[in-house]
Amino acid sequence: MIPAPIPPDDAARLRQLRDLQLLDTPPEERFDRVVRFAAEQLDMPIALVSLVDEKRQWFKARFGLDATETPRDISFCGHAIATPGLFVIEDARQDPRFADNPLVTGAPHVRFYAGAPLSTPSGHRVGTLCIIDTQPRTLGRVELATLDVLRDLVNEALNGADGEAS
Amino acid sequence: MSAAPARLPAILVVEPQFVLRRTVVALARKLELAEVDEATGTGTALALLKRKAFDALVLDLEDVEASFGLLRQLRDGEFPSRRDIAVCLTAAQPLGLPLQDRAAALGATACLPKPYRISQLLDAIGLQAG
Repeated sequence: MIPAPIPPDDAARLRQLRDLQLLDTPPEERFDRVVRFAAEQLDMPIALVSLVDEKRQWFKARFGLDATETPRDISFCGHAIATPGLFVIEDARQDPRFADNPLVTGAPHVRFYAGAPLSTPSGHRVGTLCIIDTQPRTLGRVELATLDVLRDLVNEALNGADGEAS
Repeated sequence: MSAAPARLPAILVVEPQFVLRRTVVALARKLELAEVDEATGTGTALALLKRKAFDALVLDLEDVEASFGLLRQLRDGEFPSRRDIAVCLTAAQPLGLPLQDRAAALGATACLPKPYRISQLLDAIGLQAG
């Protein structure tokens, strides 16, 4: 297993994350509705809004997963925030970075992962909107674009720009 | 001399649910499938239909009578749009037979109960998403 890398801007990134004042806060519908929708539209058993903290990833919104956080070093999202684009692992068991990851070899038995990095206005990637399956998957053009536009909705919510409650 | 770029179809999406509406609209724009206007209900939709021609309409039946009234006006040629444009009705519940009959009588192209896949919706209004 290759541990999630620590980006060069991590100190500034963590300051931005903490300034959002979202860590360890109660669930909120503006995030919950997006993960429910992502799981439904993309036919995934698990969808999450994950915030990558110094030593852990903490889930601001969860669909299909009981855990509220996992260690950062084994997190897929810790890898996903290393680059701005979508981070897709079609079959974790076939990927040397993840094949022996405890999240793959044990619960929740991740096989497929796709994460869309979430950014603050200053550009620091603080977490992801991610979808997970216990089976290998390949996403098509529409599905990838769907994840991308849902990420934009979460970014708006993250940065206080969503103005609608319905 | 180069050919003029093809015009994207103009679509109106009438959908009260925020995440669904925003996703449909953003996806159609991102994939460059259509020029999209959006409305949360029939009031805003009516105003848009009066001032602009659309090539397809996605119309939620949250307010059944208002939505069917809008569709009736469209089919009667009361708007700048062609009266025979594709119309996909969406609903929180599967439509019962009486509503299916009304939809068919007004020439609805498709009726999608929620939850539906956005790709189904795009197919129903003739947008090839690939």
